[in-house]
Amino acid sequence: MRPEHWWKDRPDWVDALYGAKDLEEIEWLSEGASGALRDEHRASLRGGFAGYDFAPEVLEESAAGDFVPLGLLPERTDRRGLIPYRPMIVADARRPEQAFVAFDRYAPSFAWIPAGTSPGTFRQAWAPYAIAELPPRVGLARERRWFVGTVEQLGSLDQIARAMDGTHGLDGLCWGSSFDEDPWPPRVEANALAIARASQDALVQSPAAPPSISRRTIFSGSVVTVWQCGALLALSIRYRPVPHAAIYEAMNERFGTTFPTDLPIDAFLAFCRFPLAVPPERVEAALRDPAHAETRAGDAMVHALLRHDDLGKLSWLFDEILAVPGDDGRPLRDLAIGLADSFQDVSTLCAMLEVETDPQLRSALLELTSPRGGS
Amino acid sequence: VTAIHWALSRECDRDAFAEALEADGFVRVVDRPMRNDRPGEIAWKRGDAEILWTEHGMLGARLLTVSAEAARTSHVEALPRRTLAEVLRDAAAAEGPGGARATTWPRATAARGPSLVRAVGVAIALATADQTPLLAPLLDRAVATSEAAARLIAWAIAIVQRPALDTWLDAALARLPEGDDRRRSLGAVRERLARAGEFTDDLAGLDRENLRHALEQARAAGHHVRVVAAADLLLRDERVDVEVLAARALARAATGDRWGAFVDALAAAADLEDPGAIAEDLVGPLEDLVAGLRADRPSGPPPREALAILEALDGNPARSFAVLREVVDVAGIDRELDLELRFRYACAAIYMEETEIARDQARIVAAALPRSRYAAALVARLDRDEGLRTFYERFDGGSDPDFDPRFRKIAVAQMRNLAAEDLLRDLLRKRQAAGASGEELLAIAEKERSIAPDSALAWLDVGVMLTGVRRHADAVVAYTGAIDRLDRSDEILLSDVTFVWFNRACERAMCGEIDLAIDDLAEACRRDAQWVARAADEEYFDALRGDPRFEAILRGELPVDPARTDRWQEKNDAAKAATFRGDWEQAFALAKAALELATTPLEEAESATTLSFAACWSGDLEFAIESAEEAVALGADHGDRQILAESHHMLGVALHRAGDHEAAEREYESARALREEIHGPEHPSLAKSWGDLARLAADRGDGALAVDRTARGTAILAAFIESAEPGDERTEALADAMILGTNETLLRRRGGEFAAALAAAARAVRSYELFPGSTFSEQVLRGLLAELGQIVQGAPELQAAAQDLATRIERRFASGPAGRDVSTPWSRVIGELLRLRSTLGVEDAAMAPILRAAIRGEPPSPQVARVPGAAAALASFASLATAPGTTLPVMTPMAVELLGRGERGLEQTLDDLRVIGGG
Repeated sequence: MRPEHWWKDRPDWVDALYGAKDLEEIEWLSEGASGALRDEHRASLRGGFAGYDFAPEVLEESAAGDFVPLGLLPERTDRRGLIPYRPMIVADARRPEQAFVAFDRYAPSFAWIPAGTSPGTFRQAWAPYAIAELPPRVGLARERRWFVGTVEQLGSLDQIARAMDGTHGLDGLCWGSSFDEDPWPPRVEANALAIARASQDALVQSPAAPPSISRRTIFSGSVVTVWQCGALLALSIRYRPVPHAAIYEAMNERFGTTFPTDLPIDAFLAFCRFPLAVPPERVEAALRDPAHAETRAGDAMVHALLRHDDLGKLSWLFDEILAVPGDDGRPLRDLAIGLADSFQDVSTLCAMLEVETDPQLRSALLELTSPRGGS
Repeated sequence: VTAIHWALSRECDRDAFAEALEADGFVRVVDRPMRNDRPGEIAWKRGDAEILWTEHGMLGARLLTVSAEAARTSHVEALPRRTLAEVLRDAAAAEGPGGARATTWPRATAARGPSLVRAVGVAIALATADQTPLLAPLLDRAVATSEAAARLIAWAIAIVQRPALDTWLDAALARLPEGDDRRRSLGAVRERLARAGEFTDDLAGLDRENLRHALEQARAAGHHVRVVAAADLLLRDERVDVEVLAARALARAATGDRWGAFVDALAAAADLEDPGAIAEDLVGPLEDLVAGLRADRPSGPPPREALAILEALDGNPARSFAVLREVVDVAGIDRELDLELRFRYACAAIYMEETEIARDQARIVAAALPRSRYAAALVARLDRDEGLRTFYERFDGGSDPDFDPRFRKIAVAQMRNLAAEDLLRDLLRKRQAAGASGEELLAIAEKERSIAPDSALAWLDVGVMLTGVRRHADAVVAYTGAIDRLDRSDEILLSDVTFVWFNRACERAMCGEIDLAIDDLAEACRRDAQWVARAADEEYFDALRGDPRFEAILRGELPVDPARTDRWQEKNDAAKAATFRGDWEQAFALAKAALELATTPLEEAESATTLSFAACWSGDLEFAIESAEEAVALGADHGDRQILAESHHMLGVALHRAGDHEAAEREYESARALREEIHGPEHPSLAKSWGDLARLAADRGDGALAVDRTARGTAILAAFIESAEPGDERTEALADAMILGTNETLLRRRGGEFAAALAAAARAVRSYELFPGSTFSEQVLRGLLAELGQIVQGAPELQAAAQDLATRIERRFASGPAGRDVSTPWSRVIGELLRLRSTLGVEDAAMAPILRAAIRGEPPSPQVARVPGAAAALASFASLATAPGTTLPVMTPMAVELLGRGERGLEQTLDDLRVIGGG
């Protein structure tokens, strides 16, 4: 029999969780430890903890909030066992009606996961983040993509990858476009030098796909990928949907954003690194809108970046958007040739060749569609 | 499962379809994104209902393949889709480019009329192997009416590779007239298909996944040469993939390479009893192959390349043992290979606890190579008591240079604790435990140090033993030797040996070196706080008691280490500057210091690269390789391609100098590929890579390849120099062009191409004349002059032209900066200040405070004043740059300010001032 919980003004649900036999993995905090953890949360958010990259006012809002850390869930580390995370169960005075789980003591309050009021709701809410094994690609069926900016704005793929290395909640192991699947095992218990050597192999880029760098998120095992075509950069998150609509709807309403409402929170934290993110739907809308004719070439390149592996969307781009007749349309047809060639879309190049009359473009198409005997 | 195939139009929304299916209980079972070299596939399953969505980028085809159970689901029925019959019917209605259809592509697509070309791609992708003959009328018509369609058909045939298409191709070629473009397109494919079995040129550019794919395709098609080539590439990185080995064994057997087949098959067969390790269709043939080769073993000596896989097997002694047990017994081979095999066999046998075999083989090797350190160690390893003792008594510190480096590699890969020094260390511990006298222990430790003079551990052992016999001054020397080697050591962690500073402090205290003893004690305590408490009771420190510094340390108040207040950047920059000056010793010390100060892995990587550079040029190749490997590992770990490229380059240089050409080629190529990825193929850094690769090819005796590579580098540099603005990059490119030109001169002259050699020399001289720097490697210039002499000897008719070039070199060398007129005061000052910068080894911006001090009339700093001619040059500069009657007194401080901010280079700044001053 547990003694009564020390918190006198606790909501009822605290007792429901505190007394639950099937939540034995929770390490309940003493009053002193709880206060120390709260102070640590505040100090770290106010002291510019760099792991989560949010505006100071957002962090201050979390730090200033009245909340009570109640317990800790078992430690989780990244796959190298280097960076520990200790999820924290919290009661938030502003939302006292249910429990919340923070990924660790540094997570700001808006990223806390609502966990209901009973052991059942608690387990259900935490389940997407308490995965027994990392899901393979087919297990992460949902994917969202965004155009996130240019190399000039954000730095090269390498620089972004390095910055993401320091993003809290992301695994330290990454891989390149040669791999469809995460090539790393669930645990990598080797010394730093051995991991560094293995990383060389894992970061190999495929010559047949845009260079990319992918990483797992620590808790949900989602895959965050950044890839580059020319000077443009895109972000993709592959994940299992989670039922957090309420969190995102509140955020979207407050900030005027359009965050997908089913993203795991750890993936969302990685996404927040890219404030300029534009979803593909916005790019498509711009391409369809005659008022955006001036930016068509740029929009087309972004569309091709985001849809490089979807033939339906690509052929729409080639056949309907870039197929502008006459001399005025020549630059866009030229762009179409370059893009089709970069994707080895020989069918489109041949279809263009069949009807193109501009001598220079024809000559380029003849060169690009010439079958090579030796290769 | 009966499958139904449809073509999908582009209106079908794949993501929406997937979401709807998955909401309806279908589970995604396959998900491979489309890439340039393969179709994309997503498959779902729900009970017996199966759906596969395929996207063929090259053919422009999206296909849906479904089982009968899935065909009637509402999701599939809602998709706009066509069967092959419908595609062919629509294609029959399509018109070629000569018809009434719009004559531009945009209009044609706007009209959305069926396109013959598009139909061809879709039909070929959609038709199953059985249905392919149905395509003939469409293909005939497409080839007859459209060159574009003929091209797409050619690509499609090459990609799809179906017998029915080959048959059609032969018939179509017979019908088309000679010289027709369509015949050329299709003929190219015919040629490619005919050579497919032996064609391997494309494999080198493939990554592992695609190499595997190519191997499987080649195996299915019975293209044995291609299978072997793909397998060679897959196995080259010392990674053993059993299936690949099995496939290569069978392919080698098919091509008559019996030894290669035997070794591969034995290596692969070690996994035959492990179900699932080898694909089922390979198991039977592999078993038959092993049985056949055992019954009729290959005869004669095995070629070394047949045994190359053994190196990859070093990491897997069990498999290595399985192979060697059979190979050693049958191989009647030359001595060198024989001993290497036996050494490997003995190591593997030790691992497998087959002691008798190990002893037999070790004895044979040791008897054949009495001076081999590793052969002796092998024997001692097998007999830890008596053998160790004998090894110690007989060991004379010699080594067999022909074998030991090779044996060391095998020993390290297969087993630890085989190095002679480790054996002696083992003996030392045993004797220590047995209570041997201090003198005996010291003698063993000294022998250990004599055979491993670079080992920090060996020096430590000697130090500890000297402490034991109370030889204090000698112990100080030994500990100092250990400390000096700690940074180079990968055998120990610094945190494990903090006692070395503590011990040296003790010994120094005993020798009366009070100040140094306190420094050491402080260092020990800084590294590990436990020494504070230990110092309090240590009788060796009695001489220090009462010294306020000692008492402060006992209170835990440690003095700040002055070295650590230096920033990493400063040390690192200074180290780099020293490498550019060629001051390797100083570069080495500075890089080492920088490495200690590094606080991030990337800083460590950068310093390790510089350290490797310095070590390489001061002749310590082993250390250079180790440092560069560490830099590569750190660069890779942190995904910094720039640093990774430079560290691969450095590793290549070190391996090249160490004579490991194969590994060097791999590293140079990695650096080249990374540089190309980062900067594009025209960047001058690529020229450096081509230069490296060229030198390597030359050293490997492939002169033609070396010339070709040099020419690639030269072309990149020429284009860059042509378009680049004056500045450091251009200067560097000119220096590189000069070096490449000199190398090309040598290569062509050696190949007897004297006129081409002279032309290359002329290019080098031109680069030298344009080179604005004041110093250039005298060695290169002398080399070029010597080459000109050789050219004249080989081709006397070129004497006048060669003499002209030699004169130009000498004139340029004598005049300082190229083309610079030294007759005016400004040009002289510019030349002198550029030379001063080079001598100081500083960046342009660092010259700003020196110039600023000069115009203020302040004397130069001692460091600057030590450079001959510096004070006079600065005084001349001050006088010119503040000349009354011009705007210079106003402009000069501003120009120097810009120089300090890095917005203008030194040469640009001085040139600006010269123009302003009318000079």
